[in-house]
Amino acid sequence: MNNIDIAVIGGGINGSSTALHLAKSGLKVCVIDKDSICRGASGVNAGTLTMHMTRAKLIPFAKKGWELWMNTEKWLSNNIDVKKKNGLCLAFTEEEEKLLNERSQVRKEYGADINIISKSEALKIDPNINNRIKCAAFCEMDGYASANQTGDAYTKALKENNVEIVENFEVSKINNSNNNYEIIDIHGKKINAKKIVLAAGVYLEKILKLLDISIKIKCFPQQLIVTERMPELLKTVITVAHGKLSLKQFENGTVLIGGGWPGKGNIENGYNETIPENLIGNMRLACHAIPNLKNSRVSRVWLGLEAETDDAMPIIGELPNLKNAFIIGSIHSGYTSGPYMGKLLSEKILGKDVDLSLFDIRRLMN
Amino acid sequence: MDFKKEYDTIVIGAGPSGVKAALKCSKKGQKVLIIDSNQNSGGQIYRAPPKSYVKKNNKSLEENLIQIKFSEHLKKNNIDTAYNHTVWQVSPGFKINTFNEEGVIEWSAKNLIVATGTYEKIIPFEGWTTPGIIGLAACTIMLKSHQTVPGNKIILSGNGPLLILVAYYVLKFGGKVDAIIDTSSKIKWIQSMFSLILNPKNFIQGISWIFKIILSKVPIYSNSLVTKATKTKDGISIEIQNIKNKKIKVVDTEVLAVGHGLTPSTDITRLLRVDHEYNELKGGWIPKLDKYFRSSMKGLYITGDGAGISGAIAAEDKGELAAYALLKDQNIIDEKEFNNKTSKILNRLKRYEIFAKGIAELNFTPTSLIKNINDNTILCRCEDVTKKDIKNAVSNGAKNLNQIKSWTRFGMGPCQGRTCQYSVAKVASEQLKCNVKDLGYLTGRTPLRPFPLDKAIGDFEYEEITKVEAAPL
Amino acid sequence: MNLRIHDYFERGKKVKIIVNDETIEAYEGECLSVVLFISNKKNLRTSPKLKENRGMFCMMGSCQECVVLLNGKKVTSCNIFIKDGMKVLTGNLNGF
Repeated sequence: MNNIDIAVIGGGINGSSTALHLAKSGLKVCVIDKDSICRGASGVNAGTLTMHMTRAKLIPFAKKGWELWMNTEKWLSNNIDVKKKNGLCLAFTEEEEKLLNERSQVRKEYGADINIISKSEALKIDPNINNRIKCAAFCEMDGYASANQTGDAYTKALKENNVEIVENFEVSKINNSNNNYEIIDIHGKKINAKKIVLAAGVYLEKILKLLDISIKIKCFPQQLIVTERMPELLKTVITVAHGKLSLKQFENGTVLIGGGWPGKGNIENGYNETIPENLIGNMRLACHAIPNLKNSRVSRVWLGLEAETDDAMPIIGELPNLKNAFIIGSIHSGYTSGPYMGKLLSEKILGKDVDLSLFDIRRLMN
Repeated sequence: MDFKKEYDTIVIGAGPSGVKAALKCSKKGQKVLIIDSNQNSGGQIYRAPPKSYVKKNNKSLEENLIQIKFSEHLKKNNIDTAYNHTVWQVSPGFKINTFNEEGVIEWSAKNLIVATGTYEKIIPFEGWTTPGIIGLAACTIMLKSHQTVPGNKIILSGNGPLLILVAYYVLKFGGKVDAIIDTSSKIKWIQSMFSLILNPKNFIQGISWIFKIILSKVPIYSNSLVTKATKTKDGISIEIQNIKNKKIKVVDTEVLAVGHGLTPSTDITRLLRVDHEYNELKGGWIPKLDKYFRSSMKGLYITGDGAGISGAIAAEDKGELAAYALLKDQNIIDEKEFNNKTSKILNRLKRYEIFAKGIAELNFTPTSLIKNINDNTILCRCEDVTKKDIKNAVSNGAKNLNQIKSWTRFGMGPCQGRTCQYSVAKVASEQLKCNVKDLGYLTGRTPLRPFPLDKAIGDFEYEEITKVEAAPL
Repeated sequence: MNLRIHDYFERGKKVKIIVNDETIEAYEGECLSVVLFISNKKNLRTSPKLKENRGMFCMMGSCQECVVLLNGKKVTSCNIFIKDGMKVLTGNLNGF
């Protein structure tokens, strides 16, 4: 493999989106992954495309990301199911009603078209929800993508744009000299590139250390639950005021229950394990929101690892004290905004004037 | 039953292996719980009739007698029994979560013996998903446990001793077997006799069954397989092909029972992430075990056919061996007693291993069965994933079973790949020209069986839901 | 031929269950999927993409092909035992 302009380390949604946009502008790009691409969080998350759970400051980016998701045939491929749906965020108690009002207001200020609606209005939009809600927040800009198809979709798009995909390449060393980055894997295989992008998700802390940069990246193992195929149980994408539930029903009838309930996970050996009480808590919340859900059966549970910085904001941009090295990661609800964040970073790398100051890694360094 | 919260040892699976292991542990003073999703002990091979069936007279099937003895022994030894409990989660340490009619319950134990047996391997063919086509093992259960003949016209196909067992029972119960379609040759059967004779009781029984089948003039198609099944107005039309001369014959039937051997159930061991190895003769993927059935996880023992197919009699011995290993590891018996007791069993098992090899050779999956799967044949029944879909994923770069699963949805349905993992691996390995073991196995996932949400959530007040902190704004 | 063998065991009392709109006689405590199988109700569910009829297959609670709606809830019918008045729905029910 010769004359690589940019090597992207980490082929999840952030890295692959960055690579895709760079390749579309003519650069020779290589995506490196220790596994197969999009098998980390990008391939196992709930696939929710919502403003309700997006961090307020990231709303403008999530909106752009949502637009990209609704038009995947234009820039990605047709190999992934994406659906636009109405999004309802529910409040069951007075305290939650207050929280919902406050949070929706803040999100609205950042540009999300979220409006508080009454119980009866919410029930008209989705008659399946628990009629004991106090109120709901409504947003049309909502929906989902089938996360497990992400890898297939990006592989196709990357290949069509002549991106070299190198899988099963676990980076153990990065040598930097003379306008060249030499990336070496655990078996001694080498890849040379003029520029690098670190997009290694939960492994960013480890990869950054290879460049003598110390940043703490927290890793949260989160449980996801999917039911068997069922007749229609809900019409909307459901979230709740405190943010700890996401519910959606796919075209194939299965219902996906998420919301960030923790399981146990070990980033080193990939081991993960369910915490039964958390599973049951998540299920109770889901069945409270959609009572008829209790007629179904859980088909499987899996865990994904989510990366988060100390201030729960993304890191995107140039790496300090290094030429031609960039980073993208730890984007909360990153699946929605990932495609757009990757595009932004690619524009930055191409020399365009892009303001990534909100995501500057230096804020996390002393 | 008043269950304890914690036990010294929990045994999952009340078949011959699990029962013997539980009895051995209990006899040495351990507090033991045995869990099974069926209504009673016996596993699949000695599966008891439903609880509502009442014994009529002195006539008894031998298997029923064995099963009754198991239950009596378990009761006599004060072993707690949790029947009708389905295990949905096992965590290291060990915690076992189950559900039953009433709701959910969690138990913990220092040691865990997994004796969950096997599933039947059925290699797909065109039309195999037609209702009325059931497994040979399914047919066995209908006959022996539910005392019901599946239909007025029955054809059996596949390979191995279950063909004989099922044919015998259908005939014994007054039914009719219209054909036996066997992928093996008659010579292969005769060759296998040399191994099978090492289990004289089973061997003699088998010979007597074969006599009854021959005397009943059941048409036997050796070296043959079912290439196609089509639904007709009144039943199913079966296309039988001779593997050697490719001649085809079409026969009509009501019920087709098909089976190609057994494969160990590795749901729990894959979930616990213990080491596994691939052994085709032992049935496929099995957990890596030492000769006393210790797994790569401390305190976890895997026994019975789930440790590698060797039959019901060997299963009892394996259960005892695992129990002795457990007792030694817990310092309940010393080295001397351990060696004394286990050496006798190990010698017996050597004989049964040869018997098992004989059975395994009869159940060996011939390549003709795999070659017979055409592109439009469904491999994953839960998700309607065809051979063509699998081939496309492999062509697009999927390199192992987990990746193929991710891209095609095979194994994502409620059966979690139990029914199809073996055939998908065979198809993919043929395409990639690699060994089946290079494709790995599907990562084990919770829940081990579909988990009814109404049982999971129980009765609760909204305020009770353990909430984690609100997500950051 | 009477497919139920009564030589060795006496079954429970005779009861009635309702399958879709039809009343079927069975014995209390029999296995639901077995009763459906021999009562010529072999089509239990519909496959998701190809909309094929599917029915009882493994009888071990593993394959999930015998799933039906029992009194509104999804169950694996080979693990269910007949009770008087059971209401069973089989076949295609919108993604069932």
